[in-house]
Amino acid sequence: MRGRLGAFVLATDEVWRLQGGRDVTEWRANGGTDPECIAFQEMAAGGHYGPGAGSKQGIYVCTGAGELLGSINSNSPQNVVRMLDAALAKWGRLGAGERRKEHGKSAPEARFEWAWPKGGMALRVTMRYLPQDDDPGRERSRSYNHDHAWFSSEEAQRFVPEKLEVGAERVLEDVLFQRIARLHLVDAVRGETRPFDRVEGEIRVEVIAVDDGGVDLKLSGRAVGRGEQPRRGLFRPLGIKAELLGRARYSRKDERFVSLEFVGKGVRWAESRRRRRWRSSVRPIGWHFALAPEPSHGVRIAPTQIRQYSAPWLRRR
Amino acid sequence: MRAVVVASVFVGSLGAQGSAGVRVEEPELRRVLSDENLQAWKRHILPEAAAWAELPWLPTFHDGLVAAAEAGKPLLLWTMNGHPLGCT
Repeated sequence: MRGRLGAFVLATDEVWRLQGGRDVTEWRANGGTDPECIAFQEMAAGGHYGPGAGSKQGIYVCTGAGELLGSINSNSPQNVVRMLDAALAKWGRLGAGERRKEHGKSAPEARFEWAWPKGGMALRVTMRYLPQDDDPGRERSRSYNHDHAWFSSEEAQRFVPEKLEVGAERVLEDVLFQRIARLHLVDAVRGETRPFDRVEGEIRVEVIAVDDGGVDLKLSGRAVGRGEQPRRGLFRPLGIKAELLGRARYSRKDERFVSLEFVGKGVRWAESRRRRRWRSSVRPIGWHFALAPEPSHGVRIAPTQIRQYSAPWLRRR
Repeated sequence: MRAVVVASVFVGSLGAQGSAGVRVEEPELRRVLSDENLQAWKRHILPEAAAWAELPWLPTFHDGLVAAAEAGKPLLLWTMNGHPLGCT
């Protein structure tokens, strides 16, 4: 598989925006005009799910001009490889001019990635189900998921206690706590989910050491979210309870965090649908938050719930 | 690839207890997180290196089209509900 992938340029993207939401006809009737979305919709109309409404998730192969060569949405590696080989065979029959042809009309009008507050703080979030017996040495659950949490540089400063002396403490203000708890302390281990309306709790930040370069901080807290969300799809979250603990290092000279990470450990209760029946379930769950590395491709992937961010810097251009 | 894992998990069985229509009681939170076990829980949650994550993915469809035309290569686009490099 890896050898085959060298024959391709690789890209990945979020499909809901590209496909125009639930129904592309509605999207266009409501004034959808983003050229990147239209380029995708025109290509995907010839793909495995065809034109019209419904998910267009999957793997597509196309030319730089957007001409479809193959597509599939399969959990079978063999089927994916077969599609890739067939697409490469079609590619092999194209002339040099077709291979280098540009699309020319795919530049996006707007992307949430453009809302990244330059100089801000991005946290990489990882979540996974935990063992029932509270033993971290147990075999890990196979599934996990990621997300990103964004803060402007000014918001990041508001994680730091006003007095930089040992014992000084700050309770993270509610708007920042709610961003973390409502939107990121959720069970998205098996896929996107909806945020809670409101979460009770707090995050405290305490100065535990001071030196010439900066301060060491301890983060601790708790969160309880309860939701009465409508049943949709295969999963309905009902609640989350979590405790939080972590450490950070803040540079006084650079006025930024050199490191910041914390773990959330808790339990979620939910209803999930299986064989056409809704059933209740309770699972221990954990989250890890840490400063995100610089992205190699230069673009920070937006938080999945960025539409729910209550942030003055959020401007969708 | 993560798509395969996600898809197979999504259509597979969901961990479930109880029966239809019976509401689960709100569970108690056992508070066990401590300075002593923090690193162990961190290691438990974080994933091992994944081959798909080391591939040079461009982050948008448009970027992929432009790069494919420039490189004279076909574009392989992996697109999911939720960005695969974020929460999918």
